[in-house]
Amino acid sequence: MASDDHSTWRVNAGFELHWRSWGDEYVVYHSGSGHTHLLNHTAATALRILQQTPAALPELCERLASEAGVEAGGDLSGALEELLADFARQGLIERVSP
Amino acid sequence: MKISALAPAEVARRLRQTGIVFRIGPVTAHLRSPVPAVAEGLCRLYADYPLEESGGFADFHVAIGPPPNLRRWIRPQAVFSFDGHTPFRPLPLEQAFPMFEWSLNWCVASCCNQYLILHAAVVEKGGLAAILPGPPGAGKSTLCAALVNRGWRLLSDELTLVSMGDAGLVPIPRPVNLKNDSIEIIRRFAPGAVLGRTSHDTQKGSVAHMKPPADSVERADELARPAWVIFPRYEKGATATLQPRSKAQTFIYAAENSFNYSYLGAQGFDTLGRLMDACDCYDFSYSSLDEAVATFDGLGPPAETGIQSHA
Repeated sequence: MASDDHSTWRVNAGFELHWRSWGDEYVVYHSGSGHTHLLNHTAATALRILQQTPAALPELCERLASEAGVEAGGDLSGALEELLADFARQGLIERVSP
Repeated sequence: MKISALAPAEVARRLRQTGIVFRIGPVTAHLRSPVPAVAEGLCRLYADYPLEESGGFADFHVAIGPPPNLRRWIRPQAVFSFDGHTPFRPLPLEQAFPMFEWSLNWCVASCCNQYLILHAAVVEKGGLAAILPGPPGAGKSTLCAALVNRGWRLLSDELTLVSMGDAGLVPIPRPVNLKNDSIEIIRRFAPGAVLGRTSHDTQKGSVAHMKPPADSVERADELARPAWVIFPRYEKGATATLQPRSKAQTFIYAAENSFNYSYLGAQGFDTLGRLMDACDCYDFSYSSLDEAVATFDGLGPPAETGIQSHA
């Protein structure tokens, strides 16, 4: 499931995410799948951003850089693309229909 | 009235006929069995448990008896039945009492969904409880047996019942299941401990059950406050060492090794989250039970945490 710069992503509609965190580690329960995911700070921040408002990859990169203190350069975009694909496979997020 | 009030012959008679109803913490079991080893085990290891009125309500109606076929004459076996169903294959008759213990665990783990049930031992001292998860062979039952012979209260050696919502720990004290080398280790460590008959060649090797302290049985209605989640690991020659571990990773391990976390959904998530909020988490390696007990006795109350939770 490759994304592209034009795709906008959001947390899967109709399901709840339940959060718990200790330090910079997070667990999140997805009411749709019944699965619990262990996330680091960066992944959790990305998912939270998408929970608040749908975003495309470039916007997500910018917000992640400012909210999670991640360096915007380097391979952030590529790493986020992989993360989004992983979230989508897990049923946590979906593409917003144009 | 306790089971000890009945003479062994009366226990055996009742088990053969109407059965015996007794309470174990929050559950009541009605047991029937014509097998002498079951009567012997009940007299020896359940002497302190309160008897309930025969014919009254019981959560679990269980029986251990011979299977209804000719095998009983060839190589005697015992089969477990629960509400008239036989969910498991028969075992050799010599394993009838361990079969009762394992089957009762199964009853609780399968049916008591008013609690979050973790696969872990749990002991308490001074109002604070330590939960001991870990894979088979890690030494949690051995450590649990050692602790309850040194003043810790037994809540369970196998099933941690977590009250939904407030994450209090509900005792269900039962005989401690010792396996293989642990049987002799505990005999030496606590010569006063009462052990049942050893059954050999079971799926878990040689097993024997240790009678829980009378105080633990008497206080079975007294919930405990969770304070620590400690993963014990026996390592030959190791000095007793506590190593802090991640709460989030402990959460995931506990969820994956729970009997009903998935079934409980968001309620299970919330309850396990509260439990982790309340506890400090450690890996614990040890080789000497005396050192291990001293380490547990020296545990401080859990640290205040900046609890963050969001729905």
